[in-house]
Amino acid sequence: MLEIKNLDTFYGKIQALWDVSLRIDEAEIVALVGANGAGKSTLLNTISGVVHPASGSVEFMGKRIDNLPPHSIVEMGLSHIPEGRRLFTEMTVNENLEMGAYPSSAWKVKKETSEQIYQVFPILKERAGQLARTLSGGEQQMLAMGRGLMSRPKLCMFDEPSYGLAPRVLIEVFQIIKSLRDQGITILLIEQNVPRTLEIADRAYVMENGRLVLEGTCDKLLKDDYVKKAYLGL
Amino acid sequence: MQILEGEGVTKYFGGLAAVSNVDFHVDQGEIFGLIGPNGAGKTTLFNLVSAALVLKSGVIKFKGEKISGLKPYQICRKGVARTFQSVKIFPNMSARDNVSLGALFGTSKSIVSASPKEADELLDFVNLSAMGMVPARDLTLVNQKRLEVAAALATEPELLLIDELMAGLTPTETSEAMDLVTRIRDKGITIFMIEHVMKAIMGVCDRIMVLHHGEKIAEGIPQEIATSKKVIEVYLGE
Repeated sequence: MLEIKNLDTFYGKIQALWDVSLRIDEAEIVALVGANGAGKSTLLNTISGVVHPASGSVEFMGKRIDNLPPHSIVEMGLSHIPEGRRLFTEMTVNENLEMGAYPSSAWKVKKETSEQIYQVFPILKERAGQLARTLSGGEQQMLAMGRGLMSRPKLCMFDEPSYGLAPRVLIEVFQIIKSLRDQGITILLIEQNVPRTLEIADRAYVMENGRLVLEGTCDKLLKDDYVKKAYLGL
Repeated sequence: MQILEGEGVTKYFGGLAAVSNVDFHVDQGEIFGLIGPNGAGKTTLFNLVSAALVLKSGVIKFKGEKISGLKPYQICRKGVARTFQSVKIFPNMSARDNVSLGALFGTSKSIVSASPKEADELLDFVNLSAMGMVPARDLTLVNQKRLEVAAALATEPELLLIDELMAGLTPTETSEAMDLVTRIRDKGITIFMIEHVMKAIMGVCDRIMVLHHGEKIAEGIPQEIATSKKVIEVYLGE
């Protein structure tokens, strides 16, 4: 579904990604783990067209997307839920969700989609008319996820969805991600909660200093001595 | 000795009681944790202590002296510093200048006495010594949070309020952050911290208070909180 080959990305003169190649098959949950600053978010930004690579290619469902602008990529069915929420703070919860339904095919069914999202996050329904800035941090995170799903994506990229969530909600969020996959949505997941992430994902890549250094099924990585020491804190 | 006390602390947002009649205290030298579901009123309580928001009713005292009613800068000068859940830094200034600004603000120092050496020591203390000249906006979120801690420490507080330092950290990074919190306490600074990472909060706190819908539903040592039926039901899950 997504095929990345030999990607190099720069911020100005600083090279942030080095020769990154990665593959995601349909209806997989693929995790991307690594320390803060390793380049994980940069990889997501490169896939979603926020930044463009200096070399290499990104193919989504057989089409090159590495030179497309973000809005075209969203329309093709690839949604990016960025780190740090990035909500429209002076808009209501419901308006934020509507903004996520930007592609015309999604706009037609936005009522139905938002009802589904309110079922998943009932607190958002209670707060539907409130300005996004008045939500608690955790509620804002839920809204960011909901907004990302409003475009009815085929592939959804989550950048630290558990950030700032209470333990009980965090468990729910991981269940939700799993259920999205069961509905046929392919998932690329960045998460610092490595143990729980490797529990729900099928495969994972480990990134360090802008390079992918390890790849494998989660069962295999959970047993890997290096992963245990560097990422599981064991 | 109680360094911070709150009695009947209450705040409304419109008709919603964000913090409702909460009594609490923080003992000098302890690490006091504040947990609760998202939207429980934790950050609001921090905002009330630091006067970013004004109480509707109740009293907050620092070292026996009423501080509710003071302005945020006055509270900071009394010796209460804080960090923010969504980081508040000066993005275009270097990391070192961010810390120097904190040092200038805190007590009664003049501009000339804010020494770069002091800033460098604090950057080193939070493991950011290599980042001194980097514009704060270019730091990763985790490093921005550490920078905020350094800037807050530069005001020479006796009490530090930390709002979610551990969010978004790998287990290994979480251990480093726990170590940082412990080292701050070992400097003699009392800590009042909001955190969702259970391993961290259970690992470093002496006592923990739990808020739910703005009300205090539990308070006690980590073991009591971890096994409280009520806390498991509304917060921990499973």
